[in-house]
Amino acid sequence: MACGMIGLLGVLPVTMLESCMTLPMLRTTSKNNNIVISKTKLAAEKKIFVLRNDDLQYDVLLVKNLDNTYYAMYMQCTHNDNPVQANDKGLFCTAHGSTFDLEGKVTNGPATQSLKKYLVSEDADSLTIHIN
Amino acid sequence: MKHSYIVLLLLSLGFSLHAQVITREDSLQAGLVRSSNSTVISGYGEASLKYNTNYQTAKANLDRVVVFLGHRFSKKISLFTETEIENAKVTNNGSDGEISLEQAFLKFNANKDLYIVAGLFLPRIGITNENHLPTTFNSVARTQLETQLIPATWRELGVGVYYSVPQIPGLNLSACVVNGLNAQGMGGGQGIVNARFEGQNATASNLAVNAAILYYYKHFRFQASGYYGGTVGLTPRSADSLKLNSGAFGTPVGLYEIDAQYLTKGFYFKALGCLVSLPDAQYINRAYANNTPSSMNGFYVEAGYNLLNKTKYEDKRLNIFGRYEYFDLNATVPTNGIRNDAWRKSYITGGVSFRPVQGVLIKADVQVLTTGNYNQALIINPNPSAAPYLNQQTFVELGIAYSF
Repeated sequence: MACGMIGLLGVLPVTMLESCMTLPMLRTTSKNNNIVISKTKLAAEKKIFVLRNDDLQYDVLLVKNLDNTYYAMYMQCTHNDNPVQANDKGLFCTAHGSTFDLEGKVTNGPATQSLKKYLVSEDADSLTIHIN
Repeated sequence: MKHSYIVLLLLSLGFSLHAQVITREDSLQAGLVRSSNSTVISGYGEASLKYNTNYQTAKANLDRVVVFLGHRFSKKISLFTETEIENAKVTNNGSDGEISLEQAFLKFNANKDLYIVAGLFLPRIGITNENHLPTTFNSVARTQLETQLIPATWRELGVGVYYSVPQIPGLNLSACVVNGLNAQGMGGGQGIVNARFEGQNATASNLAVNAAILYYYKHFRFQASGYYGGTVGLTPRSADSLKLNSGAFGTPVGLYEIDAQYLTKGFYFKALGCLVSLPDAQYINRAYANNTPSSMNGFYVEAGYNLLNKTKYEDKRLNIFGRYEYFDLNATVPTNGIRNDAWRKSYITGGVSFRPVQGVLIKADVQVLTTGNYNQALIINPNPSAAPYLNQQTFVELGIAYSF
C-alpha cells in the first residue's frame, strides 16, 4: 500500500519499489547474550533477515551463505554511531553515506572499519547468534 | 566469561589513565558497542595547494581540522559535536581563520526507526552537507555548487525528526524546523552563504522548514529535499521601516534539490540539480541595496572509476574522475538588481585520488572555471593596477585528506 502510494506520487519509479516488503524483519529475544531463532521463521528463498531485539540498540543482519550456513553483523555504522540499513546489495548509513558490502566490509567511507560480526551456531531446529 | 572480565578490567584501567575516553576501535574490540555509556573521539582534516595557471600564483592552506567528540548518555540519548578550525589559525588581526562548531546536538532515539535531534545540526540538503568528510569525495575541494549555491556545510539550530520506514527498506523521511536566514547577509554573487547564522545569535522569530525523502535501492541512492524559510527576524517595527515582511516565513527563501548516486566498489556516478527562489528579492534590495537575485539554479554530474578494483590491491583505491558543474548565482534579478554574467559559472574538473588505507586520501586535479563577462557597472572605484578579469581560469590542485 505504502509502496504504491509513493509510486503514484511520482517520487520514485514504481519499478524501483518492487523490493518493498522483501526484507524480512523478525522480532527476537535474547538470553545470556545469545539470540536464538527458530529456523522455521527463516523463509527458504530469502538471503538476508533483519533481527530486531529489544536488548540491542540496533538491529542485527543475518545473512545466509550459498552453502546454507549463516553469519550475522551488528547494524551500527562504525563511523559515528548511527543505524545502518540493508538491502540485497549491502548496507548503508543514511547519516553520512558510508556503505558496506554484505560481508560488512566498507565499500565507501567515511567509515573506515568493517561492521561488527557475530558468530552464528546452528542445530537442527534453530540458529544461535552469539552477541559476545 | 573470564576473558570478558579481564578485558573490562583492563579497559577500565585504561579508561581512567587515558583522559577518560576510549577510542572507537577500543570500544568495538572490547565488544562494548552495546554498552549504554561511552565516549567517542574521531576527526578529519584536509590541506591543499592550488595553483592558478593564468595568474601564475599559488596558495597552500590547511583548510580544516575537525575534532568529533560524542558521548552516549544512555541507549536513548547521545551527544554529537564537531569543532572545526579553518585555515590553521585564528588571530585578531583580520586573518580569515575560524573556529566554529560544525555540529552540536543531542540525539534522542525514540525507537529503532525514529530519532529526533535537537541543537546545531546539518539539515538533509544535497549530497555534501551531511556527508562532507574530505575522504568521501575525490576532488581536492568540495564541489563548487555545494559551496556557492548550496552553502555546505550548512548548519542551523533547531529540531529534526528522522524516520526509516520499516516496511520499505531503504526509504527514509526527515523533517526539521530551524532558525531562518538573514536577508541582510545576502548579496550578488554570493547566494545565501553569508545569510546563515550557523548557531551564533540566530534570529528565531523567522523560521525555516526542511524536509527530505531519501531512498536506497540496490547500488542507487536517490534524494529530494526542500527548504523554505523566512529571512527577516527583525521586530515588526524595524521590518516595517524597511518595508520588509517579517514573521516566521516573511521575505522567504526556497531551496529545492534532487540528487542521485550510483555507488559500487568500481564505478560511481552522482548528479545533483538545485533551484533557489527569492520571490521578494526586490524588497531585500530596496532595504539593503545588496543586489540579491530573484533566483539561482545549477546542476552537476560526476563519474569516476577505481582502477584498482578487482586487482590484488583491492584494499586500496586509485580513482579517476571527471565532473561538470554549471550554476548561475543570478539566474533572474529583480528590476532593482544588476545582473553580472561573471556569476554564471561552469567548472570542469578532472583528476585522480589515491587511498593507501581507509581514511586517507591523496588527491590531484585540474579545474577549469569559465564565466560570463564581468559587468563593469558593478565596479564603483576601478583600480587602475588591477589584473584584467579573465573569463577562463585553470587551476592545478593537490590535496591530502584524512578521517578516522
